Amino acid sequence: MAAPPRSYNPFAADEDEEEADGAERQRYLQREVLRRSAATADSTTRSLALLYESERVGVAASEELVRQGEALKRAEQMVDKMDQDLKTSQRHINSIKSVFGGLVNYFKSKPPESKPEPYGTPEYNANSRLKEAMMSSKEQESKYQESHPNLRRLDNSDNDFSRADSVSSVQCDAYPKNQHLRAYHQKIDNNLDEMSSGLSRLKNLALGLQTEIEEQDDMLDRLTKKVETLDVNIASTDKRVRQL
Amino acid sequence: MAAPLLSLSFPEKLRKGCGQGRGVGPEPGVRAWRPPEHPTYASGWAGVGSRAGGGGRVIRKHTDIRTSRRNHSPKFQPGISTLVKVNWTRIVLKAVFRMSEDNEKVTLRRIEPAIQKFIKVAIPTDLERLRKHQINIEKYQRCRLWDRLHEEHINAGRTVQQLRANMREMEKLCLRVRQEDIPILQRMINPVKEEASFAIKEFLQLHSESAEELKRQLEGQEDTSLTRSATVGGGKTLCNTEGKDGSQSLIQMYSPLPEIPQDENAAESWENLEEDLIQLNQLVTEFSLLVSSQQEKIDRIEAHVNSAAVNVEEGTKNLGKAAKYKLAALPVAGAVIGGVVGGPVGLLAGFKVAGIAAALGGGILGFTGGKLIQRRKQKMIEQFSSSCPELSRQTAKKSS
Repeated sequence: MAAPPRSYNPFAADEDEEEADGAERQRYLQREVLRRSAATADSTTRSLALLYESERVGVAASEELVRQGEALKRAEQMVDKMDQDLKTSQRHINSIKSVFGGLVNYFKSKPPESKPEPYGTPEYNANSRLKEAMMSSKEQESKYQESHPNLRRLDNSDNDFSRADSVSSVQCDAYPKNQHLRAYHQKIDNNLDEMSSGLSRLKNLALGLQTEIEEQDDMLDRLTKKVETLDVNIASTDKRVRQL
Repeated sequence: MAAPLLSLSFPEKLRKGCGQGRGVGPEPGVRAWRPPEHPTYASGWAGVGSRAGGGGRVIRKHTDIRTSRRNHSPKFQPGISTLVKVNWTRIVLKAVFRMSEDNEKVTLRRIEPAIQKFIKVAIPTDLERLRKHQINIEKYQRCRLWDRLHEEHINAGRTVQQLRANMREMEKLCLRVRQEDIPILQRMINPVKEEASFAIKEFLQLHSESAEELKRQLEGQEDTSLTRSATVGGGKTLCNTEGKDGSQSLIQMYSPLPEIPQDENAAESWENLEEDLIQLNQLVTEFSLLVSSQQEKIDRIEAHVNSAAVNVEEGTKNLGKAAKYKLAALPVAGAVIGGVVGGPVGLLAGFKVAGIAAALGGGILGFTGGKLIQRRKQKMIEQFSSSCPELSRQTAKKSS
């Protein structure tokens, strides 16, 4: 009699009870089932929206990351140029200090002719994997729009309407209920499919970001070292100039 | 309606299966990365009875690596530490694999540690877990604890998928080995492979039996199970495939999805999934916040470096100019010295005119000598400043 709402077999419980009670219970359980499936369907839709949003945010973050990588690369180039400039100024100082020092320069090796990177902004090849992941994720923009909660009021009202229908038409046979249920199941399945593909895209994005970040990490380390040596050089050059 | 992930179709033989495990998880567009990586992750992710629960876990694991975040304990299965270890093993293997991608074929020695780890750690762990699952399934079947049975099925399905993924990874690694080392490798791997395939076969038989049992139990109920439509469809297609292949090629069979007898389990799985998704969303948002906060620092870095570069360049130019100005003194100095020397010499000689001429001559000599030296030095300075085009342009203007 006191079977829990989540009974294993709601219809089996009815056999023990009287007809009226049984019918009542049956209706109640059916309503329960419908309600829960509707709730789950909504839940899946919301989760799907969440997923799309995450994807969007991830794409934006990775774009920023790429731009930062470019900036870092430019900084590294400038540091290299500064290094060369410092070497040149060192020679100038030598020639200024004494006439003989300047002559000595003549016999020293010529300054390294290594021209730095071409002056145009060089190509910054962001990790290609990240790029592709971003491309595929960007295509989901439309999906994001339609799954955004603010834009989906219409659908929700439809669902509520159909649910109200099923609740009121209690006397109908089981067939329409099955339809609703099946519709819910379909919806949930669709949403789950979309979620899985969305998750795979997110995974790719994450992996791409991982490699990108690793590269930038290395670059940062190199940059730090170079800047430190550069700093020391600048300080010593400055001192020497003052002593002139 | 099997999800795209589950529509894997691996070729029959184990060996062939490795090189062609493409198109598993990611969309066709995303092909940039080496293909071998995907199947493992995707299958480790796809190998679940309830769909995307594992996916959240794998993604979480990845972001784990990057952001070193501590997650709350996942409720999926016991022995999560071994799971983590196995995953890390796989990641290490991937690193080795990435290393070895530079050369086409590598010596056995390079891959040996990875393979050893496979043989000694990953696969035995999976086999052990599989055996435990088997025991549990039998126990629950006897005691008729359907929900626990169902859980065990799910977990076992996952384990089988992982095991398969490991085998595939190993096979892929084997492909990389040079021709001459292959027999040795075969000898090392074959026992493990046989054991694994035997265990999988046994398990699948047991599994299908008990799944049938489950199905019969719940035949009576029609509409109460939430995901019945999906699982029935999935189970049917899978059972058909199984029937066709028999027990020939293990990789081709995939464990039939257990049917979910009650609403509760589906709801619970779904709730887990939802939680994971929410966490994932939070994680992504936090990541983007981090990135944008670092943006400012990077901007400052670039600005500073820029101004430093400009300053250094100017300083160098000025130094060059200073050096040149200094050189201008040379001819004058030469002239003076020449005059000073020549004058007294001439005067000593006694002839006034000769003395003056000698003085003048000496002056001219000194001047030309100094001029020569100046020219040479200017050339040198121009060479120094060759890296600064503006400077050389200036000097060109001056000399013209």
